[in-house]
Order: sequence, then structure tokens, then C-alpha cells
Amino acid sequence: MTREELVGYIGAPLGNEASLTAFDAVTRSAGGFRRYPAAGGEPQEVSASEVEYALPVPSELSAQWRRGHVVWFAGRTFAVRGTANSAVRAFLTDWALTDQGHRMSTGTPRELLGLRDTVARELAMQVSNYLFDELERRHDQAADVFELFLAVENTPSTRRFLTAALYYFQTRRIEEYEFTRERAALSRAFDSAEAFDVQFGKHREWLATGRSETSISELGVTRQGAVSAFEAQARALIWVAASASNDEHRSPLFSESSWIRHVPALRTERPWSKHKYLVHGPRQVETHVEAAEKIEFFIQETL
Amino acid sequence: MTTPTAATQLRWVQGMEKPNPKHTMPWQELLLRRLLGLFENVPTGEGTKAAEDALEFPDTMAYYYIGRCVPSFGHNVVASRPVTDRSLTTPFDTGALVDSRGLIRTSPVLDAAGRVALVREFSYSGRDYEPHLDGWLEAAFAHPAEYITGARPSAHSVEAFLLEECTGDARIWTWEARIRATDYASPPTETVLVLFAAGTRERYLDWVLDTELLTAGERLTHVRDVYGYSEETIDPVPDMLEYLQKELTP
Repeated sequence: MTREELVGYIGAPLGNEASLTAFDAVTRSAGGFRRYPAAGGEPQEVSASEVEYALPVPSELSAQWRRGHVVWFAGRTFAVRGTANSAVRAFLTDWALTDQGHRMSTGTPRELLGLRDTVARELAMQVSNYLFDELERRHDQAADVFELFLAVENTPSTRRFLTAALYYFQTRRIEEYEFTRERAALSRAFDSAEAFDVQFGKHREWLATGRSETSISELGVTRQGAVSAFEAQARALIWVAASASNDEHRSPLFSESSWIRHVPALRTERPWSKHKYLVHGPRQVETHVEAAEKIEFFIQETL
Repeated sequence: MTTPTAATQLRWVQGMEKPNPKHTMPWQELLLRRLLGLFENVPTGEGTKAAEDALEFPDTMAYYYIGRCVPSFGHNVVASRPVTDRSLTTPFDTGALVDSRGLIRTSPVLDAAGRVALVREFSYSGRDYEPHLDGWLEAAFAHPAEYITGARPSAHSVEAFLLEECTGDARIWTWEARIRATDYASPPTETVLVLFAAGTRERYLDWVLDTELLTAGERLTHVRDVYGYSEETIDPVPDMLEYLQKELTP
């Protein structure tokens, strides 16, 4: 009896360049051709004439295919953006590279769902950080991560709409924000636009105010392994200073040298040297000294 | 008021196109153009173009299968009802008639001019096809819903077709509707149902909100419409078949 083998996939690379998606796997065995639907469900017979709709897969995929697997597809734009993002790079590097620059792998629909959920959670957090953290506020970075997030979180989940609304709101894209608000209700992710407003308000408030109180331990845990514990603590300290500076006007308050002057414990280590954080604020010297005192106190407590 | 018959209940269906490496239109744009009746720039497949030339169609056409999904898979599929009276409907896939593999056998054997004449003879204008389709569904199947699944009929609607000698698939007896491939001021069909594969509808709407083919107001209207007539499913085409069958079952 002939072993069942992957011979192609059914899907459209064109238009999915920026997507992380799944395509139907098409297999051949002694019994003929079968199709494994991308989103799950029972395999279906495919007639010989319909096999003309299938596109060929890289040979690596045929070797790794197992019964029940579908074809996972990361378009070339997604793949390029993903190389700059740790959460995406972590899984994408093992995927086969096609001549067109796309990346492909095989796995079950359920596995892809799990992967999406994990990565989307991380990307949503990154988007929030880039939009809200005084120290990480980078709208250009947020744009790239946001595009990755939309591609990964491709179902009408509450997380998708809250994160999208947050992005558009913070970047002052009011029309897109309004569209997102309406889609949140039309897609039935929320009962109504008003219900969305309530949750979005809470979400935004939480992000705007909660981080300075909770982030110190959070940073210490989640970023261990990525940066040293000391760096994480120092970044948390800078956070405290940032929250004290209450910036709206972007006048420089802290520079790297002033940190050194006011925080003796940091003079030798200079953990921020990799992270050129400039903290700004309107209250000038008073805030500067006040924040520095908080930092010094924290360093004594933690080190 | 006219009583609905099987033919009036059978939706016009558009599904997956055969891949063509020369085409550059993203799937989202193809779907948008189908839903809005903007066919002018939709690329025509090489096989379709050759068939249109062979059959001496004066214009490039946009095609629908009536009451059937061809192929039996795809990541989105559209069911609509006609609102234009400027359509032509034929009781077979016109492309299959001129396919070089000789999928359709007829008696008498037809030459090129004979095939052109046959298509003209069996091209019904507007809704004129409905009584012919009803009559054939009644005569050729135990129940009209069998047609939707691709079951073989007991006879072809065109007497000259030698059904037992034809080598092609169900497209040989699948009714085809076609309209001129141009940009319509208002869509020539009314969309009844779009089924998206899970995880593709939001990505379609992301694209819609970015496209310059529509104004901001048109984008919002389209987004609202799409949520109104579409659903995401695990496997759209088998689910569409089920929907089409239910439409015929009281």
C-alpha cells in the first residue's frame, strides 16, 4: 500500500504576504487525493481534476508532514517583520523558506491555534508597552508589532479589537479607531459599541496607571533571561522616574549623565547603556531630585 | 407574486479561481470586486480567454455556477441572486465544450462553428433560464437538491450531449451564468451569503479598511455589509453546499 504523502496545498499566497495563515494540505495515497482543511475538520476526497488547484510545497514539508497536518504559511512581509521580533522569530526560524521568501511548515490546526494564542498575547503586550511606557514609547516600533499582531490574532477576539483600538487611539488615527469600535460590535466580539467603550476605557486606564505600581516585579520575572536581573531592576527604576516626570511636553529632564550623578549605585554598572533612555518632563529639577531619591532608595532595597 | 421554484431558489456561486502565476491580484481584491460588481480589472485565466475566443464571445465575461460549488474547496465562497437582466445562462460549462481534451461528446459531432452555434442556441437571456432549469431538475433527478451535490443526472438538458460518453466532471451538466466583465454602477447580483474560512474574514476587512479602491464612506458601508451577510466556518465550501441544499428543502 502506498504511503500517504503531502503533494501540495490549496490557498492563495497572493494577498497573504503579511499574514500568518494556514492552507489546506493535499495528499496522495493509493486511495487517491485527499484534502485536510486548514482550520480543521474531516479530510475530504479531492478529484483528480481538482488537484490542478493545488500549489506545490517545498520538499522539506513533504518530509515533515504527518497525518492530520495542514500547511502553515507565513507570508514574506510577515517573515521579514518577524525577524525583528523575538516572539515571532522564535518559531519562524525553523520554517522552510520558499523561493518567493515565504516561510512554511506543517502542523495540526490545533497546534497553530495554540501558537497564535501565545504569540498574540506577547505581541499585544509589546504593542501596549510601545504605546504606553515612557521608556519604551516608540510609535514606529509599535506600528511593526501591531501589524504582526493583526496577522497573528486573526479571529474576532476581544483582544484583537481592544489592542487595535488602543493602537489607533494612541496614534491619533481617529477614523480607524471608529472603524475598530464598530467592527468590535458588528463581529459580535462585544454585545454593542457601548459595551466595547466600557471595556476599552477600563483597559486604557489600566495600562495608563497600573504599570508603575506593578511593573517592578513583573519586569524582574518576565525579562529574566533576556536581560540580567540588574538591568531589569534598573529599567523598573527608570519607570518610577518616568511616572514621576509626568511628561507631555517632551522637554529633557534626565540624561544618562544625570542618572549617574544622582544615583551612585549605578555609576559603575551603567545598566542603561544599552537602552538610551531619556526621560523627559516639565517639572525640571524638583522632579529630577525626587525621582532620583526614589531610585536610590529602591536600589538600596533591592541590591 | 410568483411562487418560488427550484431554479429561482438556486443561488449563483463564485468560488476559488485556478491558480495562475501570471496573476497579481490579491485574493482580497478579487473578492471585493466580486461583491461590488467591479469586474473590469479582474484577470481572466488563459483557459477562459481561449474558450471565449473559440466561442466568439464579444466580451470578456464574469462567470457563476448556478447552485453548485466548483471546485469543492476554497477559503471563501459567495452565493448571490441575480438582479440584472443582462446575463446569459447556459446548461453546461461553456469552457468544457471547447476544452482540447474533448470532455463533451455530442451527436452529431460539432466543429468549431457548430459549438459556437450550440452555445448561442442554449444561452438564455436574463431569467429565461429558470423554467428550462426547473423542467430539467424535475426530469433528471429524484430531488433537485441532488444537482447541488454533483450527482449525475439521468439525462442532459441538451439533447445533443452524449452524457455516457462525456469524460469531464460535473461541470458538463452544471449550469453557468455569465455577465459582461465590466464595472457596474450597482452590483449585478445581490450577495446572499459569503462563507470565509476561519481566520480570514478579519484579515479581509483589515485589507478593505486600507484599500484605496474605496472611499472612507464606502469602506465603512462594505464592512457593515460583509458582517451582515457573511460567516466564518471551518470549511466554507462543504458548508455552502449544505446551505444551498437547505434552500431547496422546505
